[in-house]
Amino acid sequence: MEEVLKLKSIKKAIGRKTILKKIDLTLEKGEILGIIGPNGAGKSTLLKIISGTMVPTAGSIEFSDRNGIIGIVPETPAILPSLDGFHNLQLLASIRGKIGKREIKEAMETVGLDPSNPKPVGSYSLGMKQRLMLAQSIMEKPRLLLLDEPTNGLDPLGIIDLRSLLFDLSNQGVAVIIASHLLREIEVMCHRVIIFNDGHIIREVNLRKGDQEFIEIGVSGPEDWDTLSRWVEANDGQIQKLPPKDIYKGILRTSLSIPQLLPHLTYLGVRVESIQPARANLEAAFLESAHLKEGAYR
Amino acid sequence: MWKMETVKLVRRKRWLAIIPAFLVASLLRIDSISAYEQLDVNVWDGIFGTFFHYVYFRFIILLLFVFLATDSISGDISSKWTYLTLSRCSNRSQWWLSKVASIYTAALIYSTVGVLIVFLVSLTQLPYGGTLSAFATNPPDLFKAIGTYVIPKNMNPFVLTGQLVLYTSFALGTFCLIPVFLSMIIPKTHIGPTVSLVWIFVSQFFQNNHVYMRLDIMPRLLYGAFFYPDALVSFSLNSSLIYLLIVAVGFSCAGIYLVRKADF
Repeated sequence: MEEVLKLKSIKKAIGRKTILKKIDLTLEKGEILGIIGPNGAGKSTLLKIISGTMVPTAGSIEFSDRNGIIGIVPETPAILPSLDGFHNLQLLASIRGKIGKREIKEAMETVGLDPSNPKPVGSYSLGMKQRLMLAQSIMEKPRLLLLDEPTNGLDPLGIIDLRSLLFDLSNQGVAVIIASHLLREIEVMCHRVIIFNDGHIIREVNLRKGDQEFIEIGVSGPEDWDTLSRWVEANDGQIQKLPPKDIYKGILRTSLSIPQLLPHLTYLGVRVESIQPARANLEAAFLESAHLKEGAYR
Repeated sequence: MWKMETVKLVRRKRWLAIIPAFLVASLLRIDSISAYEQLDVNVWDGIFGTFFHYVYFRFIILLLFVFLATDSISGDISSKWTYLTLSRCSNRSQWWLSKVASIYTAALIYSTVGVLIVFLVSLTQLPYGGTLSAFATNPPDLFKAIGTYVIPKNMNPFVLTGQLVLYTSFALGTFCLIPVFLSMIIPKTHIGPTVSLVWIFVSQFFQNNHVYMRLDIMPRLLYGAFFYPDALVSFSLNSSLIYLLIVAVGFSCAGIYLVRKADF
């Protein structure tokens, strides 16, 4: 696959505090990458460095297309409240001067806004402002889209629209990076997720559908878990234990479907308490990666 | 980019504050000269009286512009607007120079609108005249003694008003570059008004110090300074234009250097 973006050993320090510690990352054409992590982990700083609003202390950023356009949706909508939506976008488009009124109108219609609405955007709801931000980010046909908490203020329909828009853009070859706190949304929207903490990537989770099934399975006790683990290992599968320690639950990766798997487990005498299809469980991976400090995940 | 920055700077509700500010300044000035019934004054004294008076200029005209324009960068950072504009610019120098150009354009709009407001207010209070009044060209001895402007008789008031607008725009824009530049180092919205207010008071405090007054930018911002024959420290128009130009070029270049390394 063609690489759109390559970050090499990116480091960012502000004063004595190191915000990002040697980040290496690549992004492929059409890939949707999620970034999750606790507050202050460095997610927004990374997006700012990619967008060019922050300068890295060390490291390099390589774009496959030097003239490739980056679209950005900031964490909070940046608007000129006295102007209407169309004129807000027209002003922003005038900086690059690459598109005209037609493209601006198309982008607004794509996100469900009326380009002829004369109301100043100061009177828009948060969801409408967020849609306007989405419109400005896609209007110039970017090759890379950076979204910082894009679901902020969006109603359920808005979130569904955003999801479908991102899949459309991905199919057109646009690479997308989403930073969000909403694990469920990241899980549904992204092909790959990186878990960020304390300025570095602590884990990477691939959510792309492959030949193998992901099954969430819970068994009764440690003996059942050991039997299951040995069987999985012997059958070219993988199993990942989920926290906490005294609950015997995990994500099983296997080529078998649940109806095919159950007879094997019965034959082995494994007491199954719960079993259901799962994608790679992001919440579990996140909790497992987070550091427990003073009784709370940090 | 320059056009976008100017529209963003000027199309804000706070710019409506120009109307009451210039209304109050002109009425105060007209009231002070109307108190003397025997004075031969006309509408131009409303304009020059307001814009040439250092108290009205520093505490109303200058401070209001500072309030309107110096959050150009700090406001962008807090509203995340830099996120959208900086990534669209081909380079950061272009972004900074657009800011500089938009501040001068905003200063020109501000001065023009201000002069128009003062002119309209003066029309309602003072008689219209096609030439400068006797008060402006040859003020009574009492006014000469307390210090007033004296404009050469042959000056055309329309031409002088045009020069006033251009000089005031250049001076206001140049002064504002300093707090805008500082706001890249300390990105707080109050930095511009605070620096300017402190500067005004420091200038007032040292107004009898010849060396300080020669070095300070504040006395050179007032176009009327060239029309006070008995001023303690006098400057020529050319020297002030060169001074302002050096400050403008200096801060523009320093901004180009700083903006390359700054985080927004």
